[in-house]
Formats: sequence, structure tokens, C-alpha cells
Amino acid sequence: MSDELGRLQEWFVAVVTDPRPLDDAARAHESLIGGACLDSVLLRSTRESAEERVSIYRHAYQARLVECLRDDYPATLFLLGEDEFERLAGEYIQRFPSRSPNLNAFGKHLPELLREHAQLGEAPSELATLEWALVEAIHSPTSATLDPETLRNVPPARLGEVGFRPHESARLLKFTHQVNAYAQAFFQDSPRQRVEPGDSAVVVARLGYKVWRLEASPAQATVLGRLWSGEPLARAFADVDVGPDEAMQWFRMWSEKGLFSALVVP
Amino acid sequence: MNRFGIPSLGIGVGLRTAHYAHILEQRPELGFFEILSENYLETAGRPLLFLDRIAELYPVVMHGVSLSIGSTAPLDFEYLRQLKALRKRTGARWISDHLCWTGTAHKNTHDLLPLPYTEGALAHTIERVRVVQDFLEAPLALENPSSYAEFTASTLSEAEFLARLSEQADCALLLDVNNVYVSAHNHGFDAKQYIHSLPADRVVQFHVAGHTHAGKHIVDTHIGPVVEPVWELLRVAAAHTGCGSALLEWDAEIPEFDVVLREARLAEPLLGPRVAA
Repeated sequence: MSDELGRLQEWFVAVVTDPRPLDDAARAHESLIGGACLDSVLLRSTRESAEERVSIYRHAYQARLVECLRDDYPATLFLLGEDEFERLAGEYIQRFPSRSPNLNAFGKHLPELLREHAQLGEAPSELATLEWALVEAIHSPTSATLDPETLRNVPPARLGEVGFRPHESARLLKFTHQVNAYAQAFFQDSPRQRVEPGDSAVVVARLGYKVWRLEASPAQATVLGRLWSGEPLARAFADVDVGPDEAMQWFRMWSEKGLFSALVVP
Repeated sequence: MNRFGIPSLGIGVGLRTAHYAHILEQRPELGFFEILSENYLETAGRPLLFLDRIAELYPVVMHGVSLSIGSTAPLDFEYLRQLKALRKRTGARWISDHLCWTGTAHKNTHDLLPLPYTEGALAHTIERVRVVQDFLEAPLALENPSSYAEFTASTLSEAEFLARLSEQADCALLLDVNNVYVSAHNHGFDAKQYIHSLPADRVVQFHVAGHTHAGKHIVDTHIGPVVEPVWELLRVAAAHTGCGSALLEWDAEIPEFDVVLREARLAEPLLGPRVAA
């Protein structure tokens, strides 16, 4: 019986998840049920045909997964527009069907798919990359952040040797467009029509309940990038034109936002 | 009283992210929260931060949508391990999921798909419920699903299937009276007869919810207030079972928490006497 039930389930999922028109989908998968037609497998009700009834599940499958992508990528949805986003979401669902018990990570490949559509330009995939980093920050471990006072315990002469371990939620993202400015305007209910070109860097992290997006200047991005790749403080600041007071301000801000988890003292 | 000695928790509400802050600030009086288990799996972050605080304040029960108990795909023991750990973390009184399947080994539809109600499917599902209960070491309650299609192969009614499954696998039941209403409309069976067909002492929790008429069928959308015929089914179900735990699900166009709570409390006079937890 398990085999029979298994074939029936394979067939039902195949028909429900097939994006082609129902007639084509049913024909394409009828071999799974010995060439039987839909009517012989599903009962009609007093009000609905077997086709109408299975169509409810077909619609629900697409709608549920598209909704998940809409939730994760609201700004990207706005940038692309409803029709284009729906079309790409349909392609996404076919390319990356869910195999997981939950949908937390379902949308993670959307930036990749958008990159493959070169005609869209780079902005949509960059914006999606930023939005996915926000999702990842929400789900990243809630671990301790560096207490800024810890720095005071390091002898000044050895400060240059100290490293800073990034917090698990923290990401440094570099773009060729001003995606954070676009996202900021979108989330403040004054959305823009286009993402302006121009190099930018954004840091994303979560401190407790709050997820942060911080624009980073080129110098800040250089320092953070070096620190997070394991460089000690002195090497991270090498060739970076910034005074000690300004550098301290950066560290205070970064620490307050929870970008570091610990000092690495050699 | 149910046969499992599971206490009645009174009135509960489905925990939704939109209400986290309000709940933690206002600490409304409430019997219990039901969490959607999958929202707290494969995350180590913010959802668990909120859940830990809420579980300190309220009794919690776990409700899942991915057990896929009727599937022929192998049981997902990694998922079960996570469920078990989540129960330990929250102290959930019981774990529930649906009499359904959600996909194959290669594709999860994230939908509650209908089973053919046959002797073979029954035997298959009984065996899986036993394995799951042994693994979870926790009371497992299965919920009657809302459905929109039936298989010609079915030889049993859904109520008969569910009754025999619960008896032979020795599991509990979560009776969703809105689902009974929705499926009775969609398939043309008698809702009250369905309720009376279930073993009364296995029902440990009720669900009520709103739904949407979509022309020829009704969809279980969990939207809006509960309609009077569904309250009437709760009245019938409470009288039949004596169960004292009822939960309102409101998942679409979610209003402020106080509106949800006010609606949920309409169930209170319909329930049997509460048993202290």
C-alpha cells in the first residue's frame, strides 16, 4: 500500500507544483498513476469539478511561496514592480523548490537569480543582497557583543596588535549602487523610482531585537574589512587617512551597534 | 477530562510576531499561547529571544505544519530532533500537527495536503504516529485538516480515519471546528455528526478561526472574526468532549492584540469546566 500511496503522492505534488496549464501538467504526469485521468483519481463535489479542486492547491502552492519572497524582499519588489517580481518569483520557485520543513531560508538564492538576469542591471540583485542580509541578521545567533570598556584594559603600546572578531550577525556589503539609500527611503515610506549608481558599503548587524543598517564610508569599509579578515588594528588603519579622535568615534559607534563580539589579543 | 491527563488551559491565542512587543509590555491575561513550531526552528536569533521571554510568562503549546505524518517520504528525524529541543526550551505542554502530508522527499509544498482515506493509508499513518510519539516523548495531538479535494480511492470518512488513527496509535486530537465547518461545506458532510464520531476523551484542544468564501468553496484563511455557525460547532464539540482548551487562530489582516483576545474570549462560556494546570 505504501508504494501505491507513494505514487499517488508523487503524482499529486507533481501536478500541484507544475507551473504549466493544468491540462498539460496532468498529461505530463499521468504515467505516475498508470495513465489515469484526473477525474478518476479526484472526486468532484456537487459544486466543483476535480480540475477546479486540484487548482485550489496549485494556486495555494504558488501564492504561499511568492508571499514568502514578498515578505523577505519588499524593497526589491517595489523596485522591480509587481508583474516583474511575480514572474521572477515563479521562475525562482521552479529553480529552488523548498526541501526544508520551514521557509526561513527559502528566499536566500534570489540575489543570485537576479544577477543571472543581466538585463535587469546590477541594482536589483544588490538590493536583494542587502535585504537578505537583514533576514540573516534576524536569524543569526544572539551572542554577546564587545563591551567598549574592554579596550581600556589593553596597554596603549599593544593596541596596534589587537584584533576585533566580528559579531555573528554582522555583514559588510559592498555595492556599485546606493542601495542603502534606496532601502532607507523605501522603509521610511518615501520610496524612490530608481537606485542611484555609485559605489557604497553597508554594514548590517543585529543587537538584541534591533537590526541595524549602517552606511560605511570607503575608509570605514576598508578598516572594517581588514579587521574582519583578521588583520590587527595597526594594519587595518595602515594607509587610511583618519585621525585618532575620529577613529575612536568609529569604534564607539561600531561597538554600540554590536558589530564586534570580542577582542583578539595576541 | 481527556484520557491523557492533559490539563485544560482555558483560552489561548496563536502567538504572532506583530504582537510580540504588546504582549511583553502589557502582559495580557490569557490561558496560553500556541506557537507555530517552524517559526522557531533553523533560527538562533530574534524569534527565540521573544519566545524565551513569552515562555517565561505563559504556558505554551507547540503547533506544527511540517510533520507530514501521512507522507510516504521517510520521517525527518532532524526536524523531530529540533521539535523535541524546542519543547524542552519552552516547556510546551503538548505538540500538535495535522492529519495530512506536505510533500515528497524532494519537494515541500508547505501546504496541508489531503490523504486518501484508505485502510492502507491508515496503517501507514498509525505506524508513523507511533514512531514520532516514541521519539518526541511528548503528547502528540493531530488536527483534522481543512481540505479542498478528496480521492476516489477513499473508503473511510475522514472522521472514521481520524478516530481509528487516534485509537490505534494512541495519540491525542486537536479538533479544529472551523476546519470541520470548511470541509463539511466543501465536501458535503454533516459537521455535527463528524464531531460526534470522534473519540471524546482524546480531544485535548480546540481551534477556532475565521474563513473566506471563495465562490464554490470555503478557504481556511484564519481571517477575521469567527462566524456564529463555527461558535455553534465549538459549543457542540465542548459538550461532546468536555475539553477546556480553545485557541483562536488569526493569521491574515491581523488586528491589534486586544481585538484578537476579545474574539478569543468569546469561546470561554462555551467550554467545559477548567481543570487547574
